[in-house]
Amino acid sequence: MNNNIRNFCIIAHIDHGKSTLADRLLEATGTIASRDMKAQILDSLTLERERGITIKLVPVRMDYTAKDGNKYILNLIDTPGHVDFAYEVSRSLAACEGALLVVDATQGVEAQTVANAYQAIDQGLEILPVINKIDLPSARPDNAKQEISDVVGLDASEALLASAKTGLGVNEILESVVKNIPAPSGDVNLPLQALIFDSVYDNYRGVICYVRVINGSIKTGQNILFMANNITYPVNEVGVFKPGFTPVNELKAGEVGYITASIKTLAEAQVGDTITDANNPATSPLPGYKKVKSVVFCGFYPVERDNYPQLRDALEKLCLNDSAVTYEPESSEALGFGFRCGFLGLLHMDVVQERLREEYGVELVATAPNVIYEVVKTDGEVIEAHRPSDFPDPSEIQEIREPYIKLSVFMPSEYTGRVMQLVQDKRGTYKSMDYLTPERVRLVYEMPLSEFIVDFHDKLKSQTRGYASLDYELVGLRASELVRVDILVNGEAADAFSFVCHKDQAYNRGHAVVTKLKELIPSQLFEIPIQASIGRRVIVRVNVRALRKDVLAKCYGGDITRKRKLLEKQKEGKKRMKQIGKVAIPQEAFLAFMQVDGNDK
Amino acid sequence: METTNKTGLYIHVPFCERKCGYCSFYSVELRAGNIDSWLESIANEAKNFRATHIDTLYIGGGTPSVLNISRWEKLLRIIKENFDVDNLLEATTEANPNSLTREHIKFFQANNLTRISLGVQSLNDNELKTLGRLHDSDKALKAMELVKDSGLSLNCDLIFGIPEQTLRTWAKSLKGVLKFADHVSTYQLTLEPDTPLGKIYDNESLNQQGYKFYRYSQYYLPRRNFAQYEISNFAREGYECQHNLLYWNHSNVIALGPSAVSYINGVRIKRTPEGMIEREELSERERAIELAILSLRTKWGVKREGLLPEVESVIDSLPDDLFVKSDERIVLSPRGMRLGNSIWSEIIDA
Repeated sequence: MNNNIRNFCIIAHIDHGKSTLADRLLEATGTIASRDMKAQILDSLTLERERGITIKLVPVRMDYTAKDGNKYILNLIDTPGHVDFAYEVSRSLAACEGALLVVDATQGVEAQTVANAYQAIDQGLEILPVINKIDLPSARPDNAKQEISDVVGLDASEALLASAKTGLGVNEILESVVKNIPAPSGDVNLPLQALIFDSVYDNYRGVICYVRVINGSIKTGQNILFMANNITYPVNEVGVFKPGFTPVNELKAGEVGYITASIKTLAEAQVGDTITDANNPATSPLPGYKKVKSVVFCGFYPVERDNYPQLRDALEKLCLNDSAVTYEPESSEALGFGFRCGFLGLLHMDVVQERLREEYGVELVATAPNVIYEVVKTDGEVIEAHRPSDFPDPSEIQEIREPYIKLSVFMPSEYTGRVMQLVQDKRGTYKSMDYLTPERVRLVYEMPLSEFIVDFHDKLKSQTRGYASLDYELVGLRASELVRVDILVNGEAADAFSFVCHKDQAYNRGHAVVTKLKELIPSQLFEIPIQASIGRRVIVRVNVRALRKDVLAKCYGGDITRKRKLLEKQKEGKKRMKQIGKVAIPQEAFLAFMQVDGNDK
Repeated sequence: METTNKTGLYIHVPFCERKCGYCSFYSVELRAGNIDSWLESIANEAKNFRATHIDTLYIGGGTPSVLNISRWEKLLRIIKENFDVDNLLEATTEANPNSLTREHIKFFQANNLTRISLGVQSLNDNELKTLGRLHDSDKALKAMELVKDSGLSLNCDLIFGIPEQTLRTWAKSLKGVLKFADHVSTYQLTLEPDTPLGKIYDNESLNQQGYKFYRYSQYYLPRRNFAQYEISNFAREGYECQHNLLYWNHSNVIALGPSAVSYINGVRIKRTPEGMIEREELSERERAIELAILSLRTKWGVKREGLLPEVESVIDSLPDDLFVKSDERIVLSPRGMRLGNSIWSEIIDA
């Protein structure tokens, strides 16, 4: 009975033309007239359009009359391409029976092509390879096909050739979707089981759950049960994405659509949960998703301290739409009150920061990203260390473990040497190297996540002129020879400047920090030693020279009031600084430290 | 220092031949009509103080030496008519080497002025040009000679931190004025952003250069028996400016003329050039803190007796080498004098 439905998604490496292809499919099926087409309609967040990337998945329903004369409903679920958002990919995959695997004819297979394709295979999806951008003079479709078969291991002999830009091959893709992607299985007569594959928050309607109905059906007024939380709601509205929310009477097994039920918070309607009929519940929920875990952390602080409540409200609202962000209050000596936030990766962090700015008008300071360490103490206790100050005394530490990633880099072979050097400098350990073609290489390394998040991506880009692509996955915690380096200002420990690093980097990074502080701490009435130490052992020392002259001569009758005001201003300036012992340290020092680069000597 | 019951009188002469490029004091270029109405308003202001006894007189500006003798006569008449000047300890007028004449000197001698403060600024012609002064070093020397020969006491103002100035030219200027002067005031060029020079030079970077000049003055002048008795003032013993000491010990000073500021029993009153009165009454505590700061400018420092305990404890928290401490007094050391602002900005908030 669901033979005329096809649920599919498009998976691709970033920039391989996924969103443009989606636009063409919408046009070809008449879902959107081309005159209404904003460039890349599916990228609905402003930020997505600006950056040309897809972050949130967006579903759309198309009506299509195939060459066989039958009418079909095609549900396209767009997916993000960036590695940080791999979990979003896995969610859309679970709602589909098939996937278009788009590969750029000029670039070939890239790191995330492989990662995404494997995920789709793992979910049992039918995969249709599409070679895109064949209109470009530098297109080499045969090479791309070869790579799909050699590197991914999929038969690409039947791969469709297309140009999303010109519209070439789009009809063939639609025909292939109808012909090759299986219709959804499932039984409308069984008790309702609908998978929530995404949810968004709407100010007027509450949470909108994006659902794929696996068995049974769902309609307005029906009492539904969220199986994870055991909460019941009456359905207010069911509908499909035409695009845009379009109410319908009912969603049946095999269909993709949305429901609203005046749900107040995203926590009640968790992504991955199963919705069933409250009066006739299914015996078990569908397999859900792994709960995503934050791996990269940083502090967000309002630029103006008074704006803390605004930042809090903005984060709360943003999290209604992005359940992958975690946050908890923290305070910093330098920055006041703020939040420690967890993200899926660096891009995710960047995106959240920009959304806070763009959508909520919050100006904020983000501290340098870091990871969570695991410290095994000599008494056997295991603690999680978020900040250097969480580390116990060195004598109490048995072992420190840090998260590692498996990193795959795809690149033209000429850059192999440089990339190996780069990864080794970042404490990477070699795993494998293979030639995809005579010109292209895949390198696999394991490296600490903490090294990866600092500036690895930028360095990789500059070392390979942007020709490398990468993918990574977490492979767990590994013991590392890490040390906490303390910074002492005038003999007093300045917690805000202490950091954790590998023992081999302690000197260089300690040197970088004290040198930077020397530049930023203004001369004061006395000489100020700045030291970096590991435990009690000082490894670097510099001095901020004492102030030599600070007096502007004249002061007679008419000057006295003005002079007093200047002194008050001078004092105010000093008050804005943070006092550590007797030393006043300006805000900029704390801010600059957050960007300190270990190689910046 | 201790507050005295002495009273000073300051009169502001707001006229100049030409305004200097660094000057942010109130003055206008000379036009005869203005002078008479200025004299009139001085007379009106003075009436309020009928017969008040004053101990010191200081006529500043501006450029008092642009007034001709007949204006001077009128001015001094106003003063004598309205104040009791019978026991003046000191009577100073400022003067510019470009306009100071032998006639002025004779007039001053005849009318019991005791002291001339001469705006020499530098004895280097390039520096004088940079500053936009009307005189050259030659004129300055002649003016100094004129005062010296008259037997009046002489102060010379010198400026350091002039663009292109070197320690050598500074040393030469200092040495040059010592031949004539009993008192030297050294001022660092401080450019307010709204002055012509302030628009050309960066005040911050000029400030950075002040150290060497100031340090040299502190080294050189005491060795020539000019003690540093205040942050910017050096004098032979007995030649300290009695009038200026009144400011630093919170004694009463009556000030007449546009932009001049009086201090009378804890109340500071400013008459703006537009004729508005700005009144600022210091609280007991503000007075105490301000007095501590002002006293610390001088070589007599601040007495422990009567010093706010919080001020004393701020001072105790600062490095010892900034002070010379005795049981009775706390005085800034030479290094302390160089770092006055940093010290006072701590005290102001005690």
